[in-house]
Amino acid sequence: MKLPAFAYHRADSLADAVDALAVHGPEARVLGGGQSLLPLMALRMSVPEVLVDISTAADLRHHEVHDGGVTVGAAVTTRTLETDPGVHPLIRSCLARIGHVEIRTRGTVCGSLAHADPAAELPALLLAVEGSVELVAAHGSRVVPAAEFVAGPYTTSIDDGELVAAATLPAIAASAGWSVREIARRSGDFALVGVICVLDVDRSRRCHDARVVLFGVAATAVRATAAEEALLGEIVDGLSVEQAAELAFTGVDVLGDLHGSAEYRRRAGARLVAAALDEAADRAHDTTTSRAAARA
Amino acid sequence: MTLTDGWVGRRVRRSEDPKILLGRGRFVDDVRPTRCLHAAFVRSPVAHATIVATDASEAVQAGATVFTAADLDPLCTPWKGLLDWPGLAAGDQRPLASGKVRHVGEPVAIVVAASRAEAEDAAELVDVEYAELPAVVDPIAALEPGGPLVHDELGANLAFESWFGTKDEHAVDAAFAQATAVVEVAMSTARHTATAMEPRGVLAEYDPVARELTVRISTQAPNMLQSAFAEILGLRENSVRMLTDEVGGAFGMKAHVYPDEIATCAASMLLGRPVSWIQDRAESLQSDTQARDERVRAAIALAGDGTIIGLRSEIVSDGGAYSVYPRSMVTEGIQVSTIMPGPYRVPAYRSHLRVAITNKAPLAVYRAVGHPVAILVMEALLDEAARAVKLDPAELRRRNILKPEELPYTSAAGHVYDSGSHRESLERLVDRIDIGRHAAAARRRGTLLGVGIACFVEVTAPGVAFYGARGAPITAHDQVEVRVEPDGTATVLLGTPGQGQGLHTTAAQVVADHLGIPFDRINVLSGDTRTMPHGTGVWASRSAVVSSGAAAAAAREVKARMLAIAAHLMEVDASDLEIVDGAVRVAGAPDSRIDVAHVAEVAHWRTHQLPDDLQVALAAIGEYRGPNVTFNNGAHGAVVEVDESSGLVRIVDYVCVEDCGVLINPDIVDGQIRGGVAQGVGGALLERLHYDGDGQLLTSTLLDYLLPAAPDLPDIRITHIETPSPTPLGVKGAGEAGAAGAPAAVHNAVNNALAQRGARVWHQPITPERVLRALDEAADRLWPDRSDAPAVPRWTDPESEPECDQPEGDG
Amino acid sequence: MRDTHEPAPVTARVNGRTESAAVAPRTTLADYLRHGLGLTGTHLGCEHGVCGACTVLLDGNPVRSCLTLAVQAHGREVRTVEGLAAPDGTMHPLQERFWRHQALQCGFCTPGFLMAALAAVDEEPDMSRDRIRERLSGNVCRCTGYQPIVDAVEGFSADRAAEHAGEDR
Repeated sequence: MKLPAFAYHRADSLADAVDALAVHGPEARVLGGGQSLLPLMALRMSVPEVLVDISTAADLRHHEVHDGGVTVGAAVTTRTLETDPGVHPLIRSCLARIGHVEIRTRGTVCGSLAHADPAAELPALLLAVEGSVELVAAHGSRVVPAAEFVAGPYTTSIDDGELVAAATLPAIAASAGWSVREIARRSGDFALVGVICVLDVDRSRRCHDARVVLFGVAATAVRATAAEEALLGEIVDGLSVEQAAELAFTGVDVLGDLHGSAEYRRRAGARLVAAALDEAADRAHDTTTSRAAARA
Repeated sequence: MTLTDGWVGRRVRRSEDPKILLGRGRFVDDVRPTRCLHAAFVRSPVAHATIVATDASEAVQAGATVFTAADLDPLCTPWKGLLDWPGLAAGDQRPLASGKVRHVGEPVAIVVAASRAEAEDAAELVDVEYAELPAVVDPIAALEPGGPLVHDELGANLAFESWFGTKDEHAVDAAFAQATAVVEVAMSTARHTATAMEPRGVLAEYDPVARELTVRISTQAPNMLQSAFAEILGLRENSVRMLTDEVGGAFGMKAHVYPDEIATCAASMLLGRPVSWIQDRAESLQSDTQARDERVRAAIALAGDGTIIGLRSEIVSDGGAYSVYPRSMVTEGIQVSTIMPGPYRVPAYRSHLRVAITNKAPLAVYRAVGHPVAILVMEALLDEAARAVKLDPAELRRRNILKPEELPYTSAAGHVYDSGSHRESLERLVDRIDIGRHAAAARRRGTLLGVGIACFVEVTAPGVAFYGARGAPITAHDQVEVRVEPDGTATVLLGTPGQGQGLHTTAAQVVADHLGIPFDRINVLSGDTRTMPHGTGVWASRSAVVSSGAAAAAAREVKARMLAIAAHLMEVDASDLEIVDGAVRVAGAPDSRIDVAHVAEVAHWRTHQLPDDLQVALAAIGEYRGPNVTFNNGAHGAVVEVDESSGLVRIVDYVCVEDCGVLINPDIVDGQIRGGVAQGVGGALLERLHYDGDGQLLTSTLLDYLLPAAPDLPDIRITHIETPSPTPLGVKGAGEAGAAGAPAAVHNAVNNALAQRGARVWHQPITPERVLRALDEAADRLWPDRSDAPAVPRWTDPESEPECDQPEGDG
Repeated sequence: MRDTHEPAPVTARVNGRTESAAVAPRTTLADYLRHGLGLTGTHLGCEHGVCGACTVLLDGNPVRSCLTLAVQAHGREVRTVEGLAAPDGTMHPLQERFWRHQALQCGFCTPGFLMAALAAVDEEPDMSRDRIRERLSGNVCRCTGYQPIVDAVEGFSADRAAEHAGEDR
């Protein structure tokens, strides 16, 4: 299971990388951490002619924390972000669920987004925090919002010659609660069902922002809009959570595989969403009450 | 015989470990001779097809050498494992597929190049045209007449059929007719594979001048392969040399003749250069022997007081495409059938076994061969029976389990249990499990708590009667050479090298006691058939018994020679002498002594001091002699939590009571049990080689074939009972007992939890989906689609079907 | 800057020695260590990043050497199982603990476990047994059932803590 031959370009900057991509066109792939790309190449499911290695490009190796949100350069590893205490716990909690430490040590945040595995945490997180990616090519750059980035399984809006230079994961509202939950056969496995919830409630527990993102269940990570709409404007309690969870898979084209059928994912997923919403609501409530207490 | 209270029984650190820990182990891929070429295989991407044409011209243009069946067949005699079983029918195996491919991963061409990477590049350039045939996937459907055939020349997909059990078939009918309670289960276990961490690998070096073949290979049976390779490749046995240093796990999977390994040797013969083939993991999951693919219907009949009065089983074993040489494809199925009565008094038993040929990788022996399935079915029956007659599961077992005074006991399937502690094992297990301790945590987590127990017997150290008597190059008289060097240290040469079990350490412990010199003065070597004495390898939990037995015999012989020399030097009678801790001394007069080193020096360099007729060679080969089999026994208990919202199962406690007779090194035995339990848990909860309806293997990576990792297992608490066996050292095998009982204990624990909701699961692995579905269905929340449960055979009427003599068994 | 199928120069510190070689880009760090440098203690169990047998330390962090190109180790520090023992061959205390607890059988996965565990204890000196199991969940052992590995890592952590407590005094 050896890698197919390829030409190797070690980029020392973003400009160098996009120049190389421009020269080689569709035959080139960006090598970040390589934790998704290299296994595919070992299995000869991906056979790029050129790898443009950005892992040591100096201007892609930093991240910037702003109010709990973060902008991540393309060469920043998952582990770097995960272990930065300034990063919001929702983000860190998501990152800590990606594979194993040894994978996160090399794997990059932007690389995982670009890979767009339907069961991966990061595309789901991008949706949940309504983040964006910055795509840079030799001829210019553009910012693509989360909702427009992933087009299908392993398919994104990245054009030939572009790379994900940075991703922005904005902070969620300070008053919002959150939850990340997964059902996985073993620790570190891709989730059979995963959910990220962000809930913001006022002091009377009335919901004014609800984001429920499912992953591992469909062709891409997907927002459970029916569940979100069911909660918006409602008082968050056991009943409304249960009703929202039951709607979580409405309109979602759930796919099964050898580890779990679509029916399993829907049934276990609904219960998982309920538990996640409960946890997010509790956290939101905690935050709201503690802020109220601080003001009093 | 007596043992000194010396080295046997001690938790000695393993002598094998330092070099591995320091990164200095030598596995097959760690050795690269000069001018070495590297092989990759073109393997079938489909389950069943005719090979229409093969075009290797592009690969050859790229600089590789490509051999197909047409090139290798003239060098190799085809093979198949038949073992003289009456009626066993199987197709020939060859190094490369000829005419047809019969499973995904079957080798079609060997591609040799300067590096493995280049060989893989070239393999992609070989164009094979296949005409696909309908795949035979379901083993029960495979047996129906009129369907597609895996081997056209056989005329059917039935490889083997037999009835086992009580001779009087009406006794079972009578028992069921008069039973107070009858319980039936229909269960299956999933096809899994050993997944040794070191993949298979061969480094073949053929010397065309001497017509000698040297094969460095990851195997558990070097001498057996020496004979088999010589026969297949038409070489003299003394011209075939098998080398093994470290072997990174085997578990029964590396005890067979594999086409790719023969092809690598043949390539070296054709090229006159060393050829290395190191298997990758996808090849391992596609082409290593597979196991545990069994579907069983079974029923038990009880009297009103819970006494078992009858048992019957109907088994279909999915044997895959070929019957591997030499062990065959039927051993697992036969042991599912014959082990099922377990440690219980079962007065009447009939079992019907059919082994089907399908378009899957060959099924063969894997750690505990058949036992996990047999024990699973029996123990599930007992739990269901306990529910039916409203008895505590332990109490039901207590009423039926063998007592010491009943031993030796001949089971209804014909096995003779020589010794054991069946009843005591159960009692000790029950004492050690405290489910109450876990109740609070389960309540806090909102999970269903369940406890499951399983009692077992296990075939260990089978003798000459099983394989050798059936024509295979496998027997039981393994040999060990012990020699004392001129400085009084000792060298031990094992005919049976290990794959991580610690056989060097245990052999040194035994030799230390039987020779009388300290453990740290003993070096143990193995792994070169040219210089080592003969042995038939590690299998069926035999090495502690067989290899240690032979080592003790050799040590005793050498000791006798040393005593004779010392007697002359000390001018006393040899019968008054003993050797303790490296010194020969007069019994009862410890000050009258000479060092073993002195005796050894005289025996080697100062023989002029000795009479002419005294034997001076301080070296002897010992051989094992013992009973045809010895059974170990014990009991497993698992406590699980089942998450009702996800169906996930977590094992929170695990207890094993094990009686493998005299313990040579308790740490080593504990290691064997824990490792076996881990593999059993893998089978119960995770492992499944998933073939789809077209025979396509969907689990060719470790992302999809799930092995248990550290968080999937709890600490495993072990209790030993030491009931000596009738073997020379009182030892029994221990290598497979963990794997044998774990699937049953875990399964019963899950069903104990699910029973609180009126639910059960019947198929392994116990996936979260199967659990959730069972819970939903028990609550009338039906699922729309068919479940993924495999079909289980219907009862067959016993007619005048073929019947086999009772085998000794492979553990 | 470099853009070729041709071997690329790699200079890395490997177990404290500077090693320079020209390596084909497709060569993984694992294959370079094993066959370029003869450091065969690092093992390949799956070559797709799942089994953990090939784990080495890259600048002190645990990585899969099967999912790292040799050219990506350029200018960096690599530590393998061969770099654990003292120059005189004395085992590293973690190796010693593995020996004592019989935390290996066939030993094929062992080098990966040693490297992963060393990094784990460096980062988290006070892990519970459950945390050790979780932290080592990226390494597969088929022989031991993991318990003795957990024992060894737990023991090594305790040894270190005791040593540090002694230093503080």
